[in-house]
Amino acid sequence: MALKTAQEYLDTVKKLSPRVYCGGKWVKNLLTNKVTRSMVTANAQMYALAEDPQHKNVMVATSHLTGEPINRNLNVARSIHDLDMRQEMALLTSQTVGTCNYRCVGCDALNSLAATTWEMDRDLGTKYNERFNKWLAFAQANDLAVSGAITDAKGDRKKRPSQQDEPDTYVHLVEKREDGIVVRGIKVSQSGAIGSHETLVLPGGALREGEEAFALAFAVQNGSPGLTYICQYNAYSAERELCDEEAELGNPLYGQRETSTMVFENVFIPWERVFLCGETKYCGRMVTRFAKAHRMNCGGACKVGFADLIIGATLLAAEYIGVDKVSHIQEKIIDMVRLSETSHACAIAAAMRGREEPKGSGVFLPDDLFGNAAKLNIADGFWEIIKNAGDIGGGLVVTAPRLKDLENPEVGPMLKKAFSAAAPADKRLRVAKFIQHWSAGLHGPGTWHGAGAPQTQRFMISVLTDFESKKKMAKKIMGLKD
Amino acid sequence: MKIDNKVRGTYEGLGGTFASFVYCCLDKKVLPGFHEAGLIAEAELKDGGVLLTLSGKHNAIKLMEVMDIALLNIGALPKAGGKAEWFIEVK
Repeated sequence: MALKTAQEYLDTVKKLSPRVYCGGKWVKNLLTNKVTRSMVTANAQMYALAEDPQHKNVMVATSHLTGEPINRNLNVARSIHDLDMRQEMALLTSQTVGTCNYRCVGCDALNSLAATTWEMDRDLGTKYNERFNKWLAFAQANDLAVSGAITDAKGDRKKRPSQQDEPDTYVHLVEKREDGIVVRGIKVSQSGAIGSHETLVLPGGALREGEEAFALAFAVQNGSPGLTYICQYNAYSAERELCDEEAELGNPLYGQRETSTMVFENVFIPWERVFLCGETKYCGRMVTRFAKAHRMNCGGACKVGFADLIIGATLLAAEYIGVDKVSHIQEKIIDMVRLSETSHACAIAAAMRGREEPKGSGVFLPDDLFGNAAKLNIADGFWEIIKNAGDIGGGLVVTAPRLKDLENPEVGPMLKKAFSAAAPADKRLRVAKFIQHWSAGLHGPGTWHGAGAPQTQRFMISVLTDFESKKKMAKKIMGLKD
Repeated sequence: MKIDNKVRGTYEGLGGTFASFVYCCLDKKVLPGFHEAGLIAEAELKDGGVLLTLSGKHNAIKLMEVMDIALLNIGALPKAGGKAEWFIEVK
């Protein structure tokens, strides 16, 4: 069966026992630890969306390998329509869970792999694409949750990977064997591997001759011995762990965006799952193609879905205190929509101007300039959006008592008096907590750095833009001669 | 997978899945999904398969549960029927 239900996914997670460390403890069961459960619950929702006939166009694609229906998170884009539906999926999933689609990075990684392994086979006569397609067909047939790991720990940024005092700051080759390779090293800021079946690991950047040991792309089974996940831990993690009522949290079911540091200590990868090993020349292209896809989706659609939720909550906050018709409030709301929809427009443009890359591969990738513009725009825009949410939401966003205090016989009546306005106190506190989750939570820096910090988009835009032609156009109209 | 000389389950994975499993058992001396040391008492290659002896006394049902988790964690999924390319004998 090519499409799993949410329950079938959860049934497999009950048996998955990766080595996960969260908040000072080993997590023995992903579904009983409140923090890891929020990640798994969000991932289950990605399966549930594909079951919903209303979302079938967006969430379900047709495998180019088998012709079977598959979850779009495992689809290789073969047309403009596929690219458009991919970015629509990013929008829909964010609107639905208010946190990561934890299969998203894996999806963009597999599209980059489809293009780059095809190119390597064409140029070098390797068999990477054949291997990759076999792996992908298996993943599609079993509707595996596949995450992606890209960013190495990187160590001293002045030094190349091979110059680091600690070689494990980059994932690297330890041993080549007849049946596979052994790898070690560290990937950071990885979203959702803990509750996935497999993770696609790509090089973290372009590499040079002499850096072959770091030129690796592979799929790793998430329960592989030698692989350890150390979850992020912050005030929101502690709040979820310690609370007696998860319904009071900012995003009760799906939580904050959960990431981990992935530590590889001599992990065996069979050759069937190795998609690049030593070909430094292709690492830059592989990462650029991943970024091209991810900037359209992460920047121009995922964060737009988040913005929709923030705008909705901000409107409610304004209504609940009776200021929704005030002109400057309305102007700020319009600004939030403008910033958000500008990025979405760039994502749609990136999809519509997408093209086959490399020619003959059949793989479609979005337009790079529009994708980078989408991400760069939302990196700044998201701060503005959460600033306005905090502005309109008021001080209550960070000063509210807990919701449960309203039911306390001693202080509850006074709190209800204090916080009832054009709506009851409990509604106001719920909205305040939701806005707090966004404006005082992890998503500002997360949006800034996710899919690459803005400086990388500025660099790409400088490379992709034909500045000379712009000067020529201006000179022509002004009548300026060379 | 054979326990007490009976085939108790068949699993399907990509070609290298068995190699991954063997590496875990023989080189790392741990079963995928079970992180505590000492669960594997002995592991050896035998006639195109692997013979695995787990520590402690476990009946066939318990051994099957353990192996089901171990194989899922290394990417092998239950599959009815078919001709096995490799076997794992557990005791």
